[in-house]
Amino acid sequence: MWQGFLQIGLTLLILVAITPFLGRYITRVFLQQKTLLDPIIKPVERVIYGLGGVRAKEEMTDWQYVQAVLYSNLVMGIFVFLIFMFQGILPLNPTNLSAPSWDLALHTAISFTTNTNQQHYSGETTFSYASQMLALGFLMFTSAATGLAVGIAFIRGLTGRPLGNFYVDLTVSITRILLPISIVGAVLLLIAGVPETLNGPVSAITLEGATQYIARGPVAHFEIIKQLGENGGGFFGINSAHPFENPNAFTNLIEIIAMVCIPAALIYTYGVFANNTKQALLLFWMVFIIFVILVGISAVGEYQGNPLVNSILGAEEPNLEGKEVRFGWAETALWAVLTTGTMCGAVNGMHDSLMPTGEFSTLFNLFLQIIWGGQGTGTAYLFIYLILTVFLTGLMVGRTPEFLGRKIEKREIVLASVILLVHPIFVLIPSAITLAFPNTLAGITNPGFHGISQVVYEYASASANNGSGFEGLQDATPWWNLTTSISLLAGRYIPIIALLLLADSMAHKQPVPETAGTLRTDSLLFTSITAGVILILGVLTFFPVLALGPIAEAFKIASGQ
Amino acid sequence: MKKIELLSRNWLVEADIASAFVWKGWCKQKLPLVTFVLFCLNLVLAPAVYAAANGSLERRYAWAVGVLILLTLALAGYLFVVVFQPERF
Amino acid sequence: MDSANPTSPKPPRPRSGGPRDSRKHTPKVNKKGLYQRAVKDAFVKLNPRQMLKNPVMFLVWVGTIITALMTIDPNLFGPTQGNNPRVFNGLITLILFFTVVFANFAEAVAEGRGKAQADALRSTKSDITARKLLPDGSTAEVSSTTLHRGDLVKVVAGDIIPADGEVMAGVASVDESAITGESAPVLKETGSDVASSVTSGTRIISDELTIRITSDPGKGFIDRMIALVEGAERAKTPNEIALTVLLAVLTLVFLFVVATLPTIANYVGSPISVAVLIALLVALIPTTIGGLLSAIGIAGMDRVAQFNVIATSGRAVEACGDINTLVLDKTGTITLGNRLAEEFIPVNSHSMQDMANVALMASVFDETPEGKSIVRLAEKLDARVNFDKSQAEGIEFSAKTRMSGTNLPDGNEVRKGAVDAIKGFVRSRNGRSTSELDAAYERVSRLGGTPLAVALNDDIYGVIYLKDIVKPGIRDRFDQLRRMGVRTIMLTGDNRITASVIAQEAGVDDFIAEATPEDKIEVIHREQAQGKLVAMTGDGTNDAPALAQANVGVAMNTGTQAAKEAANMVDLDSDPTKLIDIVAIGKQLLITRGALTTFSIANDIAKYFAIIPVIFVSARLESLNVMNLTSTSSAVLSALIYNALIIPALIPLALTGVKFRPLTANQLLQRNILIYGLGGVVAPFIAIKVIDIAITAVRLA
Repeated sequence: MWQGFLQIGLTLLILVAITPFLGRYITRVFLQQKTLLDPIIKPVERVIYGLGGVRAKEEMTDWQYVQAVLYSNLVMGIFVFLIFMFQGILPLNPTNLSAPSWDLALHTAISFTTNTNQQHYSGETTFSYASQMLALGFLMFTSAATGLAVGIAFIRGLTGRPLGNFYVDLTVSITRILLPISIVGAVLLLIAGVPETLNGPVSAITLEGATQYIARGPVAHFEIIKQLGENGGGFFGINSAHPFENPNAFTNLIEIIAMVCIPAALIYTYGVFANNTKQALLLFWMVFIIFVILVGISAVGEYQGNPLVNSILGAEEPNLEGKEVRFGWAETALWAVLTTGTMCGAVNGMHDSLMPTGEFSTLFNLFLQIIWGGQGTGTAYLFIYLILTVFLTGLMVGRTPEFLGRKIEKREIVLASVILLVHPIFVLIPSAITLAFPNTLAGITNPGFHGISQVVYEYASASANNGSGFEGLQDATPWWNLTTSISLLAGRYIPIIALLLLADSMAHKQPVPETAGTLRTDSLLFTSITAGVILILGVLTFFPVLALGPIAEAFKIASGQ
Repeated sequence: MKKIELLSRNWLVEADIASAFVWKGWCKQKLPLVTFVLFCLNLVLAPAVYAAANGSLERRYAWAVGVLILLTLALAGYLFVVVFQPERF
Repeated sequence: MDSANPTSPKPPRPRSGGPRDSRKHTPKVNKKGLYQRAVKDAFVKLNPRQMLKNPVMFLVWVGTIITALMTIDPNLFGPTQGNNPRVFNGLITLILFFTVVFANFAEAVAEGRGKAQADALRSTKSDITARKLLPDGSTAEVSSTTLHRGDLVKVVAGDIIPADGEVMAGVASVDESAITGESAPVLKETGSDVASSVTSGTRIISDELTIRITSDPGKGFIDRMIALVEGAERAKTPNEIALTVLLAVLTLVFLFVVATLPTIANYVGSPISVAVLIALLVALIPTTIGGLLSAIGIAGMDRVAQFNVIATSGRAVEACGDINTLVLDKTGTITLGNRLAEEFIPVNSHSMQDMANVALMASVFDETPEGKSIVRLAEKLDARVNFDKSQAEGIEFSAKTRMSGTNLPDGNEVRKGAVDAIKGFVRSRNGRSTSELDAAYERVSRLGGTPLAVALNDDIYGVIYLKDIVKPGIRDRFDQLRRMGVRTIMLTGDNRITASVIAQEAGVDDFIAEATPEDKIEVIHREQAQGKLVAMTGDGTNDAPALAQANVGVAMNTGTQAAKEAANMVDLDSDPTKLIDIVAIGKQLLITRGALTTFSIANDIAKYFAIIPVIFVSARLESLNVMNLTSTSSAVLSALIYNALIIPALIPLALTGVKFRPLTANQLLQRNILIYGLGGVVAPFIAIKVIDIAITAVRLA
């Protein structure tokens, strides 16, 4: 048991150690200060700006930024959709795969454009190498960079700076953050045994004499950006549980760190931007503590195992159903909580097989979206909660609530509210409709309370732009493809628009100097209150669903039926 | 032939006047309009509810539930108006 | 503004500096029948059109109607099980109905109190006949309600002044007790800054006046105050609007949560009746703050009115809470209005006796308190008037010469005034100033006093030390303000040294010495450029631009019409220190709103734990039933009863406001989050359990 918790502890220690360095580096990149990579990357960027006709010095207004995000994403989405539809006639298709159904192609294009990577297919049997590398691999960089750019623009606005230029932010996110880390990470993965080849599957003769085709491909470079960009769309159907994606404990560690490093570092980045690292650290530790609690209850749940199974075995065994033995219960629980928390969505085990505590934690993460949160957007959501907390409790000090010296007024509350509303609408309503027609629409494989978790998880994963699946669900139907597409789009772009407008309106406010009458948002007290508000606003909304899903299931298992 | 034509023209004019009158009334009084639209929508919704209930619900219950769902949607719409135009309240 | 201005009359302020409560004197508020009327109004407000204004309560109202239908036909939305659903639905309907009524009652009580106050005010301005001066010089008797801006009216002793206006001709004493509660009559005359404006409803008790009306009917200060306290013209303040948005969003979120619940619950075979769903929805949406929000706002305005301050908008009262800087005049606000002669300091080898004599000669015609105190001090030193007063000529103080005095029958000229001015006076007569004079001047300044030089012809006799008395307790108030993060800036016409001494003694954060009216605007501009909100008081016409520029401008009722028009508040008592109280009221208003919002939202945890575990039969969530409530129906009813009763229980708090303490923001937050946040989590657990026991005991469910 202690070995498992030691593994978790060491991983978290590495995270804590690298966060300030990466956070400071990201700040330098976006404040356009000198970095080590300048001599190599500056010329490359100049060529990119020249080719793209980007006026790098030009600041964008909020609507210009929004339009840039929407148009660029739309163009990318259409481009990728076309690649899917024509993959049968495109090169790099050693297994001669034909085009997928239009709704699956649409869903996949939307899912990867929104940095969700929800997959209603198995990669190795659906998409050619061209689709995987040119379409999916391309979107893995750009969608992550879009999120990062929006997150940075939001931080800029919050700290009173102009929002910046989307195309520049998009470019430097890739050239200076995602690409360099990916190259190093991919090489490490290669060394650790992850394949990278354009050759088709290998055929092998098994001991019994049968011929087996073993899928492979350009996995290593795909794998690292999948993790680093919070994408999560696996090269293979079973994602990071596949021995070619994640062969051993070392690759598992690299992939975990890659998954969480940027969202964690962005909190620190905010601190440097706002010149208030104290607040950043308080927020970091707040998220960290909630995260550790979730990992703790999930890990303990998995360690204790399923009492129904254990009573048959007559021994206390951890729950290893749906897990890779090379990772064990601890690494799988950590990964599960982390992948849902960071909106990565890669899995190294079946979430469908998690114990109810694990289900609870993963759903909880999807509902809150801030336990590290998605690339860029997660940090922004954290500040949305902070703004709401300031508004709720700030009145109690007898002043119009202020955040970073800027008054929170109607416009800010409306925009923050929009973000707060997106999730309940696009998770609960489609879930309710689907569950109203369980036989025709749902495709639930495990009826009862678990079925509720399966359906709600799917929509929560889509709306939170996570992309992981409970997997038990039969989700490759037009109903699932199209309805989750709506949740994907709404969960991505409505908050992005609201975030950018909010950032801009904050940036244009006259800051009020701080006095003894100003509510300090960088105190332990305020951070604790924020945690309370996050729990009340975020969790109470979904409490009935959690009660009927994982909680009811936990009681059912505990009662021994 | 002629007679019928006249009649139909008259009928058109009448309908025009009637609709104009109704429209004017609706512009002033929102409630009847809203109720009417709700019941029209229920023509579509109630069968869906009936289908979802899988035979466990009689038709008249399905109608009532349909109205309830539409009422909920109307309330949601009203609350959205409050969120985006709070000055009006 | 001028240190050496001994002539500007300052109205007596018997209550200034005293404890707050003693200053509250609402004129004759009739509270009889207030609650009966409020109960009636609570039902009148059930009109859906009115309910639409309050989104949270509108939802409860719709819910009530649906549950009422379900009481008539429990199987309206499908067959239901359970014994006696009709009684259960009936009880829910009843509780929901009372939730709405309680919320309406809260608003009605707040409005009723405002109305009572308005009635008291209105009684002062019942329809009266006024003598309107026609262009041809004759007068016509018209109703006061027909008077328009610019009309001229004539009032004689015994008349009630028909409308707000400005004195054009005549001198008269006016009894303003109807609005200020001040029994001593006030002198009104033309031309003077402070004494030329009259307020409608006050009574002229001697002589006669010609008044030019300055307000259109229904637009006077009293009318505005009536409209405001009655809630008739109550526009929502920016902060209230933002809060409304948040409450609507929370309501919307919970509407989605509850509306999607039935299919999810059906899927696992735990159908929930529509009545229970509505009960759950009402329990979750923020009804407590939704029901009390408007009452808090109205009560806040009412509190301002009780302080005898007319605010022209709720926005102004709210802005008071956000004030960062107070710009205060020294005289009358920080120090007592009257400076008194404390000591004579003879110079140029004159004796104390000579000095006293000259000082007396210079002050015999000075009727100001300062002048009289000089006379008193001189007489104490055995100085006597040794010339014929009727032959002598008094020289009035003017802002230009900055001195006053007497021309004696023998041609000698005695002057007293600002040291610079007297130096100039003496120099013009070939006299000279000495370093001794400067030393005395400096000494008095260092003591925080105002030095007045006294001269006879070309010879300076000495310096009168006029002592400025800092109001008792003012230092504490400034300390409190500082703790609340409010900076105070003192403006004074005194020289730097005097100003700094007074500033130190009073504990203000900053001061502007030798200030002119233009300096006031400049200070306000400077502070506002840094994003600060500034409040100030003023009374003179030259204060008007500054009053308009300030975020909160409080004009004194004794001030000029121009000042009153420019300000967004008028203090009927003309007490500048009241600004500090108004800041506290503004803060209290915001705190009350925040505290009840936090309380309301924190309550949701307990309500969830009461209802959710018991309504899903098949989910067997009994272990979550931490309160161990008896049954599904008792749990739902207890949560709803709590939800309804908490509204009337909190009405007193909403009306009187959360007690405001001058603490720093963090201390306030800590305190209030403990009471209203943590209290809001814990209290309902206990209350719901108690109600559940009671319900079970009477076998209601």
